[in-house]
Amino acid sequence: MRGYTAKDYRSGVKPVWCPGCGDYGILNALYQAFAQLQLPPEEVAIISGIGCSSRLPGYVKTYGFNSIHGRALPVAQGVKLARPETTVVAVAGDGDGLAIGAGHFPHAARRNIDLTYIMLDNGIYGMTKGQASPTTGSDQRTKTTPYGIVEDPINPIKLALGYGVTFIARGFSAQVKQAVDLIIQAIRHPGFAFIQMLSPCVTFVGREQFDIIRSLAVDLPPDYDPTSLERAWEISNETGRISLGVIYRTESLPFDQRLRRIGELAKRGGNHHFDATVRQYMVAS
Amino acid sequence: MPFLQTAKRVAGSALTKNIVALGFLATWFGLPPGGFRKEIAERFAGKGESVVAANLKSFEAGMALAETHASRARPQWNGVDNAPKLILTGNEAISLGALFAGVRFFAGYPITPASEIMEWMARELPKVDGVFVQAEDEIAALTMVIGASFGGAKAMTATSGPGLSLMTEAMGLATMAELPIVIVDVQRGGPSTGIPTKTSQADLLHTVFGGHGNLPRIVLAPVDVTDAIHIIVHAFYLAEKYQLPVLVLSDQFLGQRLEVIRPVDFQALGDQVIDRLRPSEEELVAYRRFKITETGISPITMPGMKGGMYTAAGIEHDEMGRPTSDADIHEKMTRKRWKKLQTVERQEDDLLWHDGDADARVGIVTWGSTKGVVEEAVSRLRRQGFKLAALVPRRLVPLPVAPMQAFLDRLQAVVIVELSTGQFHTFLNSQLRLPDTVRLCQRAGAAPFTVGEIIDAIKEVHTA
Repeated sequence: MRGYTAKDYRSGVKPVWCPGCGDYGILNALYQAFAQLQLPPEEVAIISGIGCSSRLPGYVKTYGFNSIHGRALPVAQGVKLARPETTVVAVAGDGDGLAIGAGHFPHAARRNIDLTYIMLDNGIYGMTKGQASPTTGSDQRTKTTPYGIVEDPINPIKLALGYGVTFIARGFSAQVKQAVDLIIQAIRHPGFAFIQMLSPCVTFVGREQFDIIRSLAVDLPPDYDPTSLERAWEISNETGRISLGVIYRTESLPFDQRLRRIGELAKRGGNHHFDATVRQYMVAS
Repeated sequence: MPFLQTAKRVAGSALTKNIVALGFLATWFGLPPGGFRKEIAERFAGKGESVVAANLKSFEAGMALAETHASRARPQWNGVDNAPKLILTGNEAISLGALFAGVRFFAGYPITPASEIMEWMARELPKVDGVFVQAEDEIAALTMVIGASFGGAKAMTATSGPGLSLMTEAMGLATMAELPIVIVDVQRGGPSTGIPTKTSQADLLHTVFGGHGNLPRIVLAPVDVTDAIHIIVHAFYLAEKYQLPVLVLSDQFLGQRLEVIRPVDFQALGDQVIDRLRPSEEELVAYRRFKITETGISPITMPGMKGGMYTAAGIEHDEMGRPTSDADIHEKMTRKRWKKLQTVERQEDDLLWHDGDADARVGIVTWGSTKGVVEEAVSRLRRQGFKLAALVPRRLVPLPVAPMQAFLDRLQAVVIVELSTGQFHTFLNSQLRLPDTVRLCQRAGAAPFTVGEIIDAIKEVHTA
């Protein structure tokens, strides 16, 4: 049988993204990661919220769900719980995942639900044409911060570490080969895997966003130990450079296995036929 | 009655006075004592033989007490109904019915007075390999349900007014992505926190009209505990068949009251346990997930089905599921989604509950749990010679307009009964022509209606 190639995952729908958008790099990385993993397209579901990045499912010939703003994670969890055998990838933007939908992040993490959460972080609201996002840098002028930004930016890696996410990585859309590798590792990770993918917005931030990230980006050294929580906190706190790679990984029972244990406990009582459930309410004279 | 003295005399303690009273009432009402004796023995078995004996002795003494006072007027029974019964609340009935209908995914967030449904699911779903999730909020609850439905599971949530407000955006998503979901709203006093532990019927307009955009949905409303089982089974049937959100409007008065009911014929309900329409082999060639059809229903796939890949979306899309902002396609797809409601009206049981005289000139229209007092008021007044008819729609959207209009056209006056400040009246006015005389019988809620309130309202128009 012929194996799947990256081309097999292209839906043929033309992306709405601007020429030069960082999201193209991540989309290509996804195609390649799926091909390398030889995932049957019908066994994959890509779930997104709303925003530029969230148009991504439509461009991939797998199952997809372009849902509503901020809700990629709960929709993705519903899919995964209903069909545990499906490879579920949730895709969100920084506004999607860190503003309106931020409340879902810690809960997906504490469930350690076995899905891959890719945050396409461009530091701006691109779809709505250039308002400040939770990761907009403090010196940045945007349409809603004409005099400069009032709030401090959120550091998604620190959030993920604080929430106890069991796999945390950072990639960059201009480094597709590395992004492919991170996605593959995330999909293979048995539990909740988070990747912050830096994905510049050439239209509302500007082409220089690529150059700035490029000038600061460094790959984590080969001897970096991602199982060290201490090292991971150090990396998350660094200023003046952006480390790329797997920042942290640990092992914890994924949600479906925890549910299986609950199921076994629940079934200890014996008969679970529907008739027996009804009989709980039966009174005889 | 000297319950306390009797208890002290036969059992040596005041503790068993309630059991003396139980024996008295059992005899007074002519109930067979066997079941009580068995129950007492079981209930106190853990406390030792002497306690069981003391309670049984007290029960017998209570029975004897009733015999001694036999001269007092006793209720007359035509016959004792010895058939087995079920004792359960509306929330339990909804849970039980949902399990029968095949629910295998429940996500919810605690809220009074709906939490018992969630707790029931937490206990029962793992026994049948179903999945229960306590979500971080109602938005997550409903969007998880939507995701699970996309994954092929029969999925539901249960909430009350404030939770429904948070879910309303996602209701639109289920409509747009054409996914079967069931939402139970156990209404409470509102708005805002309101009176969480008391009843109301004030989420009506929110459920029938609420939401942004053109949002077809189905709304059902059970009238009592038995009906709650029927309605929730029907809700899953309609959701699966028509691939849209179905809301079930219960309330605190129905959800948390215990009723003794006759066993439900679940076998007869079996026809309504269906799975959504799946595409044939031919339909999977160049599969059109949102194919425009006569009924509005298009065959649906799920992850794992080869050749059935598509992108579900809240964004407007063509028949293939591709995003579009084309006005013509939007019009066609909107019509397709609304067509499902026309098909429901044409093909499905209209779920109307009737009572009373066919030639009555005064009618009563109500909905939901208020049906109980209305039925009692109509029955009492008809025994006094009043000619009356009552009508209770159990499907509010789409409302069975034709038979309801025919009912109203025969009337000179109608009494509209509701526990809200006029939402049902507003809704009926938007769908039907009401008779010249309309008497509104409405309160904000908290306390359910008494039969007397309904009788007074009916008498006002009946003599006018």
